Amino acid sequence: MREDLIFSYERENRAVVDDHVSGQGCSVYMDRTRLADAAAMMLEAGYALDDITLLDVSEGIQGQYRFTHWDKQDRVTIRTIAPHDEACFPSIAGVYPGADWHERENMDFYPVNYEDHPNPTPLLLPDDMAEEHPLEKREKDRVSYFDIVPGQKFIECDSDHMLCSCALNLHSAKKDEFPLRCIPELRFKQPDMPANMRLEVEDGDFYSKHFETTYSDDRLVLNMGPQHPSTHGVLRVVLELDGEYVIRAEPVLGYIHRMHEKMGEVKTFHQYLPNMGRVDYLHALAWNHAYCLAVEKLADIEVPRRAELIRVITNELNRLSSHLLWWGAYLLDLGAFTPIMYAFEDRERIMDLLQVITGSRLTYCYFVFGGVTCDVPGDFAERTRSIVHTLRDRLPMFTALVTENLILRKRVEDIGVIDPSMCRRYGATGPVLRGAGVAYDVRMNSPYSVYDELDFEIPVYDGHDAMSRYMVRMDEMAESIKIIEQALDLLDGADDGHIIKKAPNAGFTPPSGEAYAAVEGARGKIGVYVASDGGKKPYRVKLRAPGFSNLSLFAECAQGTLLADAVSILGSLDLVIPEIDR
Amino acid sequence: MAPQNPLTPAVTTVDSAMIASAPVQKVVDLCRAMSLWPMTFGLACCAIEMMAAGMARFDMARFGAEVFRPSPRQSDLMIVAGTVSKKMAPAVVRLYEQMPAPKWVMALGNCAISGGPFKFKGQYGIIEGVDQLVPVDVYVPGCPPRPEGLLEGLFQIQEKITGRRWWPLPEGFEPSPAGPDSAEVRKPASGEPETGKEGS
Amino acid sequence: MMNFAAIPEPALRLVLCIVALAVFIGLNGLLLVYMERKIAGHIQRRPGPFEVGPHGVLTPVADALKLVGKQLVAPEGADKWLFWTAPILSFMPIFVLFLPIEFGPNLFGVETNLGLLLILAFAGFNVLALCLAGWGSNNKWGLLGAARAVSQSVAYEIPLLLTVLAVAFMTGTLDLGEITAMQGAWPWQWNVVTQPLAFVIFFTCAVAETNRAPFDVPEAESELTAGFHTEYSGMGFGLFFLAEYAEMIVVCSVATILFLGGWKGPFISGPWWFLVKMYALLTIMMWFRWTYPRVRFDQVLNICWKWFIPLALANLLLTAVLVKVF
Repeated sequence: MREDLIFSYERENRAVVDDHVSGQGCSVYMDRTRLADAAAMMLEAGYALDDITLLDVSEGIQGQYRFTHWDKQDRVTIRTIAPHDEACFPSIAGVYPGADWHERENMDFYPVNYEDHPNPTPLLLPDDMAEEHPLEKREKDRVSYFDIVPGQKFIECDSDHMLCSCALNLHSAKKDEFPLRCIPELRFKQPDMPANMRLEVEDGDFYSKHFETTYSDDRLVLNMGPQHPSTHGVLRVVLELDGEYVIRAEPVLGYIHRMHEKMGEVKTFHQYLPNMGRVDYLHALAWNHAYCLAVEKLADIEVPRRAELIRVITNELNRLSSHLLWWGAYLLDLGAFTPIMYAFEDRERIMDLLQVITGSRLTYCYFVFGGVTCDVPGDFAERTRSIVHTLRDRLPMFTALVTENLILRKRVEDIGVIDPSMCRRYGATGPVLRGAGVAYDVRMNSPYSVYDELDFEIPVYDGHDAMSRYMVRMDEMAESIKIIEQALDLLDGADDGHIIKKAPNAGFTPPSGEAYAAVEGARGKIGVYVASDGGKKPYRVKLRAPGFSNLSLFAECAQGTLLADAVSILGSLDLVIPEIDR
Repeated sequence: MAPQNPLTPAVTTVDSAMIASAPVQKVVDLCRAMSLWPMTFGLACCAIEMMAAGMARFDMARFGAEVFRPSPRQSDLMIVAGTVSKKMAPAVVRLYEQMPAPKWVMALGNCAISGGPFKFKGQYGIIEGVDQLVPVDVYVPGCPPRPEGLLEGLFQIQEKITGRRWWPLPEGFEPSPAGPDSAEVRKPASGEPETGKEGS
Repeated sequence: MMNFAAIPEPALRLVLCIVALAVFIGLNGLLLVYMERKIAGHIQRRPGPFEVGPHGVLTPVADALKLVGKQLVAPEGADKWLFWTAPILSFMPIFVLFLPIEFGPNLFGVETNLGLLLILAFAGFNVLALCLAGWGSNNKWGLLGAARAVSQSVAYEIPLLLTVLAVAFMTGTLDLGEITAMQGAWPWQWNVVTQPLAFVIFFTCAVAETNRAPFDVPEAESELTAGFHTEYSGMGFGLFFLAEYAEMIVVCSVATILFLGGWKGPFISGPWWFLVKMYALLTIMMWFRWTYPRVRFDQVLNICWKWFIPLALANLLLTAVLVKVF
């Protein structure tokens, strides 16, 4: 049975249709030679690329390409496998430009090569680590893919699915026309470097030199960051300027790479929970939520209703504080020093409330498998309501003082045009997508927790510019307040405990399997993929950060803009760099 | 064409003080302590708490540390707030070298002290503590530490510069009798068990 | 009342005047730093400097002494002469700028019938200093900042000049003392009533000339680190700082004399009215900084060339016509 499946995996495709339990939608297995065509077909059918994950198993390295459709309830994962001695895939960066960064990241962490990749340089790891691949498993740690996902999960191909028919046709028609070449020389090779870390000052490092290779004489090459006053964190952008206009912009990442995915394989399931608070510390509870949902799917744990409501309330409070900080920081970038003070004032009230419940001010670690760590105190509903009322009364002041200010409007309107096709090709989600006129929000389109019982709207603005993204976030604050109030009303009636009886304890090992959970964070769609082989530690954890996809469109979006506008665009994307670098 | 760096390396000398008498030194030290300008060097989560310490509720400006200068040439205090990755390490060192004397460093948060939650066996990406790169004057533990912790760190640097503590201690704490440079751990006055490690 | 004009020896009078001005500028520097921080604090709902001295009054002193005690660094490859001349050049003309200003009846430095011209001419030195600072720093960011500062200053000098000319047409003189004398004691007798547009344009151009928010693009922190003074430390930076505040005082003083009646005021005229009006204008300038976001650089130049210059020209033309006719 097993041999059979491996061969068929490679040459034909089998589809697992609608495996909602694992949160994955439909998986299509296909041969890697046909990836580029399949990707083109997906783009034409209107699917957006979420992420590209690699899974190191004994059969080879499996590449998982996750696609979402904004209107249809269809989430598709295309899976291909490459044997270890010939680990290369065709690059789909020509079709989906957002894949460029995902593939570069994979090349950092795994010994794979992506054919015809436009820019095969390191993304997250330092350039002197090109020969090391941190997430590659040692031979003795690898398990077979069928240890993770039992063979009987494969079923016959659903020939209605677009990709199944495509694959069958492609297999017969084009197999000989486009054989896969695996050219090792195309891989990035690190230059000869001394063994110890370089700390001395040099004239430009690897990234500046790499950028300068295509630079003409009358333009200025400038480095913004990594230490930068805009409070985004450590982002570095190498810019080529013609006077004040940006001709090329290339973000350089990895300055705060904190090895989250590696820690996912080193820590046990419970020990990994605090990491989730530090991926995106501004909306830490959303990452908590995504990880807990994924593991709960894996282990088939049900969460009591009270816990779900508490999760929703705290999540939305966290979203409020994240948006408030974004607002203040954006205005600080634009030169107004006062709104951030007002925003922090409101934030402090929310943080005080959350501190009483969770124990932390910023990097929350409150959700746990099966519910939440501890119940809310008795006066919680009253305090929350009063805080939320105060905030709602202050929002009109923010509008009058800032949003309607002429100077601000001139800085923000018509800046950074991002249209839906760009979002689709790069996989942008969240307010970036909703500011481009697409009504996609994970809470509405694929509801989780108790969001389907709550009545709220998704603000969508059609302007495609930074002003639309700004208004989306301001309106989202009002919507979050609505959600919190409704959930508080429902909370009174829910008293089935804050965590299930027999919740998993610290030594918990879920059954083998894979699960993917998506959650709407303040910045966009957060995805957590967990693969378990039945052991104490996860076999693979992949964190899909919304900021990663959102930032990947900056290079295209910032071309031809003024330098000041480039700063404004970065602010409107709402970036948290530790989430991007993970 | 000028090199690519945002700030060029400097040619500096440290001259001896023109007026070398002790009272003048004391006055100048006091002024330096009361006017510490931090450099915006927030790397990760602790940066948010550093911002919160400068905001209306905690207001570092009361103690003179108001002006957060973005350029290292105009700042005195480098607050390393967040994890220092190996890729970022040369930038940290260069920024430290570009600050003119006298300068101080505060390691804010567990990551800057020792690598924090990101230190595990087989880690490949971070520097375990910024004191492996630059000399640190004050360590403020926490993940992230509360803004009050940052303020206390600021007070400790002021104590280090001037030799005495200027602001009241929190309730229940007693001042360390042997001075700021002693190795004695501050012990809370209430009946907490002693660590038993440091004697007098 | 001190009668400066009564001191017979002109050289002695000049020296005393410069000493007095030095004291005035020094004290004002400290006062303005404190005022700015406190105003910022209260707009942002926090106390601002509070602990260093009673209510924080010793903060500017601490800042100044700390800056004096900082190590002086110069970037490698910077032009030593240009680099160190820039802050000095930024600060030195300030003394000349204050000389023709009449603080009270017979309380001025130099009596000249070209006071306005003197001020406008020496205010242009600031541009040169910025240029030297940006170029001499051997730093791309400083260069960008200096380029922006120069374009902005040069552009905004024109409407400034045009509005001042309008007042000069109306009063027929460039002597600040006579302009003050021609205005009355009560607010409706001040020039702002006859030249409101000129006042608005003058004040906005003054904000732009001194690189204050919302026109502080040359020092735009979030884009350019610290703009043209990125590489300055210690006293070099301190001199730029002081020069900025001193220039603010100069433009507010000139605005007071030209439009708000100078030292004349209701009930008892005298230097205190001058100070009150000057500090009121300074407070408004500081208020602007903490309220508005920054205007983008091309919009800054747009506003100047497409709005202020035509308006100022129209104002000038109208004034000329009305003066000729009446």
